[in-house]
This record gives sequence, C-alpha cells and structure tokens, in this order.
Amino acid sequence: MKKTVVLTVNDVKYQETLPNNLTLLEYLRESVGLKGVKEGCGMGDCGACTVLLDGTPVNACLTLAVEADGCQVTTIEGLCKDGRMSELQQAFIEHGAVQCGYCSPGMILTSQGLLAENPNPTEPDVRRALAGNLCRCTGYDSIVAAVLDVAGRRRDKQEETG
Amino acid sequence: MPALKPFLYERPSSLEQLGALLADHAGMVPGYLSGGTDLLVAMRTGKDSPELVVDLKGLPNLRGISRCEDGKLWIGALTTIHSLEVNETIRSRITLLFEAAQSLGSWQVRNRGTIGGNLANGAPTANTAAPLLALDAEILTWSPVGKRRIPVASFWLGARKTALHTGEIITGVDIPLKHGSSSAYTKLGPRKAMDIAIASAAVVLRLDREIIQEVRIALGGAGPTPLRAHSAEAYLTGRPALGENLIQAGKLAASESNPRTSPRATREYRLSVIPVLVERSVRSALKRQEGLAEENGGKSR
Repeated sequence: MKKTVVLTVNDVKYQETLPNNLTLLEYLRESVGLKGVKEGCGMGDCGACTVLLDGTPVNACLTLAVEADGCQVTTIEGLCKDGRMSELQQAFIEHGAVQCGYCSPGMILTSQGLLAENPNPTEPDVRRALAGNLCRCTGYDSIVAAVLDVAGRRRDKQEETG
Repeated sequence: MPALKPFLYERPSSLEQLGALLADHAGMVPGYLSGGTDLLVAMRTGKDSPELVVDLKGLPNLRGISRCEDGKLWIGALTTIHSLEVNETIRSRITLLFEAAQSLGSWQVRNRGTIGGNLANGAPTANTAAPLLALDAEILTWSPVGKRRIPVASFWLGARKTALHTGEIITGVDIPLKHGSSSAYTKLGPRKAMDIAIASAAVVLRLDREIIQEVRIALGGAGPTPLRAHSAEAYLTGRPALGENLIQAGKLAASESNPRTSPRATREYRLSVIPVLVERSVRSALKRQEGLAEENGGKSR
C-alpha cells in the first residue's frame, strides 16, 4: 500500500515511493532527515509540526505524505539561505523569543506565512495567526514582538527604497 | 503518537472515477479525506480506521465561492475555512458564516479544513453548522445513484449522524442571499481561540420600523444535532427589538434545548449560557441592521 509521489522540499525535488500511512511529519523527519519539524501533540493542537505547504502553514502531523504530491514544502531548514538566517529567525534571537526552542520552528514558519499574506499585521493579527502554535515556556510576548519588528523593518526598508 | 494503520489510498480525478472506485471496493466504507483535520485525528487516536481512504481533493469543480443567477451563493465543498473568512461577499453579506469561519480552530486547521468536511463530520458544535441552519441553506450531494439537494433542516439526524448515505459526498452548499437581512454568530469556548464550542448561537434577522419582521435562530451544542429555536423565533417575530423581548427569546431558546453533559461542560451550564448567547447574537445582528439602513440611505424607515 504505497504510492509514488513527486514533491519539492526546501527547493529540492524528491521522487519517492511512500507508504500511504506515512504522515508528512514522519516523512520529513525520518526520510528526509529534517529534524526541525517537531511532533508535539500529533493531533493538530500545538503547531510544533507546522510546515509551509505551497506557502501556507499547515500541521504536518495531519497531512499524509502522499497528499503532498506535486506540492512545495518548506521547513525551518529551508529558511536559511547560504548559511544565513532569515529575518524572522534573526529577530527571534534578538528578542529572546527562543527559550527551549521546541515551538520555534513552527512559530517562525507560521509567522513567515502570515507576513506573506499580510505584510502589515497588527498585534491582534499576529496573536490570532499564532493561536495554533503553543509555547510551553509561555514566551509569547517576545515572539509577537519579534514578528512585529520584522514587519516594521520591512516597511521601513520599503519606504527608503520606494 | 503511534503510526497510522495501513490503508488503501485513492485520489480520483472525476466523479466517474470515484463511482468506479466505490464499485470496485463495494463492501468497504470509505474514509473521505478533504482537509484531514478531523479524519486524521480520528485515525491517529484509533477512533476510526478506514481500510480505504479516498482523497477528494483531486475532484474538479468542488472549490470556490460564487454568486448564482438565482440570488444564491454557492460554496464548493472543498473550499477551505480560511477561504471563507477572507471572502468579501461572506464577510459583508453573511457575516455569521464569516464569524464562524474565523473562530474555527487554528490558522493551520483553517488552511486545510473544508466546509464540506465540517458539515459531513456531523458534530452538533461544528462551527459552520448552526450558521447554515439559520441561513436555510441547502446541502448538495453526489453519490453513484445520483445527486441530491438536502435542506439543512433535515441534514442532521442524531449525534454525529447525518443524512449522507455510505459513499455519498457533499459537493457544495447553496445559501439564499436575502436583501435587508443581517446576521451574527456567537460561540462560547473554554479558550478565546482554538477550541470547540461549548455552545453557540447563529441568528439571521430582518428589521423594519423597529419591529423584527423575520428571524431565524440556530443553536450549536444545545442538543445531539444543531437545532432551530422555533419558539424563540415565533416570539420575536412581530415584536419590537427591546431588551426584555430578547431576554424572553433567550429563555425560550434554552427551553427548546436538550444539551448533554460532556467533558467540555455540563448540561446545566449549557442551559444557562444559551440565553446569553442568543441575546448577544440577536443584539449584534440588530446592530448590523443599522449599517444596512445607512447603506440604503434610510430607505427602510
């Protein structure tokens, strides 16, 4: 009970024959080796397994790997370009928004999805978007501040160049 | 979480293919997969273990939101909950469905979960259920024996039981758009976000010269199925929109309810919050009538 699929993970194309009952989470961690994708609850409540599927945040624990056939998947590992962290990753560090770190990949990917859809989010927008990402260390304020900071910096940059 | 049990996975790309597939696997009860936010949870927790999982996402023409010539709004079954909350027609014309979509689960879940799945699930607290009941919508279905148009009022048969036959799928919903109506959805959950409702109230109404001309009230979590509060509706119809009338309507809605005690809340708690939810929804819908009157240049006065 397997299926052959073609999917792109962090800009790399994979052709795979995968068991139907493999979740996208299991595939990314165990087959591709991307350990930045975390399993928390396994039921879509905690958001630790968040990945971007065609740019949109989804729970990888509630997605079958075979459902990602033909899709673009982005994990936290895909945000580093040429060994340099993305703006959001950098801002999370600067704001002390990383404590134990378990929720951070999911938090950053959801935030990435948010800023792509809404470049000018308000604080309630950020909190609403991140409602499905739980931080057990409860460092929410610094996480929200980091996201708003990136949005603000991008705005400033645009004003300068625009 | 333990791994999922093995299953056959099929992704038909037409209804004909789906029909052939069902014929080939006669005797198997297919687990229909659209967003997977309910099915995969049920499979991971062992509540459901279908031998055949049929992914509906390959079916054409089951996605989107469009105005029909007959004044109805069609929403394809595979339309995600997130697509509902960002749609301008839904936001402005059927605000209660916007509010229901916006308060469903997390963004991740809204990005995957679909309106068809939320209805087929059959939960009495499903966010889109009470709004569609208050809107007098119709559920469109397909099965190998033909298409059906099911009025929402006869869609829910019992706890998690719907009028869908084995193998039958929801293809979409038709919502009548009525001029002069305003609406609201109020949901009470243990948390502000990310939670299933303890109870909810959906209201659609039309006001003229301060008198409620028409009102439909649907409740979620108030019984084994989403239900209409008919006596509350009858009481409000023809009466002025005064606080005392709204309180009485809320009491009547609770008297028509038959909620259960569940881990989420007791029967008694639900009965005591239903009047409050009804009153709040009616009040927000009334407030939105003011907006409508302004849009029409006060024509309704």
